[in-house]
Amino acid sequence: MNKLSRREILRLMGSAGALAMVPGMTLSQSVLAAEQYSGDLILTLNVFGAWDVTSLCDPKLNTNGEPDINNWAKGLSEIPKAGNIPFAPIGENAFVFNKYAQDMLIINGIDAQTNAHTAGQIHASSGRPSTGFPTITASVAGVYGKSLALTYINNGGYAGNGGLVTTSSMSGPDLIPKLANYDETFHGVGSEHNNALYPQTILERVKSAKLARIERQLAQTNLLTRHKEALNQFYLATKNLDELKKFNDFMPSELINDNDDLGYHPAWKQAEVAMISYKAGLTIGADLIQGGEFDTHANHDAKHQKSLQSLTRDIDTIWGLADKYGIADKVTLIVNSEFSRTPYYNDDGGKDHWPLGSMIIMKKGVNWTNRVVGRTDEIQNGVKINPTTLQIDETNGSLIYPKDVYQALRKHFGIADHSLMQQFDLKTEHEFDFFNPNNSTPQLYT
Amino acid sequence: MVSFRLVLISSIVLLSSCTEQVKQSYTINDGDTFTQSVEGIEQSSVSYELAYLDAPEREQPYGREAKQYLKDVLLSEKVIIKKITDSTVELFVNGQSINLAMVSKGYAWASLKIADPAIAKQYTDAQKRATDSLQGIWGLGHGLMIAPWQWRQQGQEKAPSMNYQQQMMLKRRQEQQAQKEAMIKRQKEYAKRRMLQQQQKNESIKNANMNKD
Repeated sequence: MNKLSRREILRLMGSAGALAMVPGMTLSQSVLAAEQYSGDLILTLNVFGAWDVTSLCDPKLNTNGEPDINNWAKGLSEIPKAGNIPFAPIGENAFVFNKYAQDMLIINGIDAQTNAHTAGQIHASSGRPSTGFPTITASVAGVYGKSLALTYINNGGYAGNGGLVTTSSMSGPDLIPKLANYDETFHGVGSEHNNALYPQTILERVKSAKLARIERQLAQTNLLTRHKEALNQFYLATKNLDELKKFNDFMPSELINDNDDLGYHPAWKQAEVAMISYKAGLTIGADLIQGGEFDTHANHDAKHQKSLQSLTRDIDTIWGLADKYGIADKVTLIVNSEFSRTPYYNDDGGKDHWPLGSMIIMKKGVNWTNRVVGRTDEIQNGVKINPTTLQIDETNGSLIYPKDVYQALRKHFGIADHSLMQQFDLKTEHEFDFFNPNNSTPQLYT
Repeated sequence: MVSFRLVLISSIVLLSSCTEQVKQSYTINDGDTFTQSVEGIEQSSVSYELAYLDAPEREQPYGREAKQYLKDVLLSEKVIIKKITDSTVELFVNGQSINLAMVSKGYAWASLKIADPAIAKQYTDAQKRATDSLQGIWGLGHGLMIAPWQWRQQGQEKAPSMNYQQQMMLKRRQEQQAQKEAMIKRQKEYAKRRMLQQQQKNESIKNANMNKD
């Protein structure tokens, strides 16, 4: 790990750290001019509660002599495939896999090494089981677009940014559109109800006075470091509020209605806001929250199938939105969960936690998709694979851990060797070649 | 005489062949449980737990290694199985306790529930040796050293609410449900009061009519 120079530490502190308080939202921005970013919008769709991958992208039939893994698999002897990807034939899986298999890279057999939700969430989001490391969205945003106004949006869950960027934490996706019209929202200027408290000229003078006051405070020599950091963030946030107005250039008359008929709160609006913000040049990465009920310790079949339907609809809707905004070829979608569920039912017809899970990485128009890498056995134990060839190798191979996946993602996004990432050494023992289009891992049902 | 000899020889042959067929087989479930079966005899399986220790679950970090160690011992060594209770055993190879060896090599935690103080001390000392020398489990990263009893408990814990939005949605649903129930309760009470009032009214009319008569 390279030692940071004093200048680098100060620079990082100046552009990250404590979040400035704005009514209804936590937001912080940079004073630096917006950088030109032409890379992908990185979206992570976080499935909290632990999804059952044996009913999705790592399907399992029941094995003689072992407890039933899936009730839906009773009487079945075959698993269907879409392209090269086997999937569980339940719910709306067939629809989404048939439509998007050619855009999917599935990584199976990821050993989360934990079965605690919070630790699993952190591990699955950052590659390390304890806090401190940035998510992949924060990492990419930090390297390529630190100065963008909303470079890293987080709608919930682990929002670690490692000090690389500031996190725009959303308590609701409607906040950014409101803040893009800050003056109208909070001061009534230009609103239809003509209840403006102040004319625009006065507001500008108020803003200038605020900034001048913060500058005077920052100039004090007796400030504590944390206090100075907070003031700096507030200064940046206040100065760059106007940047958010770019959002309006791409804002439709109405955002998508994010109430589905399943009774969950899907990620549609979160995704749409992230896409508009990306088009406006404000955002590089966004963490979305899937609203289904996945932590099914009782009555697993009914609840989980419904939640998986919500998830597959989310995936389809997100790509539909990407098409709508003309950025379908510029989106990388990572679907992930903290771990999976047991390959057997408990006494309440539910499934408890199981550390072996999967990740789905989606992107259109590339050659490394329509593949499955990594593997579990018939009863959902991890199988060791060769990191280079991705073939099964129980003798000299390795299990896949989240740190291996994150190292591969960093390499894929071109940030693994960046100086900013050196302080976040994942200490991987192997380098898995997940994105090599020529190699896949043979699956159970092929 | 001849027939007796024939019967005797046949019995010996039969007994020999029966003895050859009695072979033990083991199915290792995880690092501290296995099932012993007698081959050729149905429903002869008995499951045992290793006494005095708690090994990582098979899906836990170091669970595979613990399971493999137990498998190697049971399948390749001359193991003597000593029953502690009906379901717990201690294994010995060449007079050495495999249970104790597993703890001292870091394949298992010492159990927290050892009743005999002398045995408890033996196992905690063994665990301390493993901890000090970072053997097995103790060489894992701190966040991955999860005691199996903690793992079993965590495996059944409910997920906390993951974001503010979901919390608000849940709170709104709960409030709506509470309002609905309160409204139903009020309606029932109102209906009951109305009925009571009607009854009182009917009674007073009845009394008035009786007085008239």
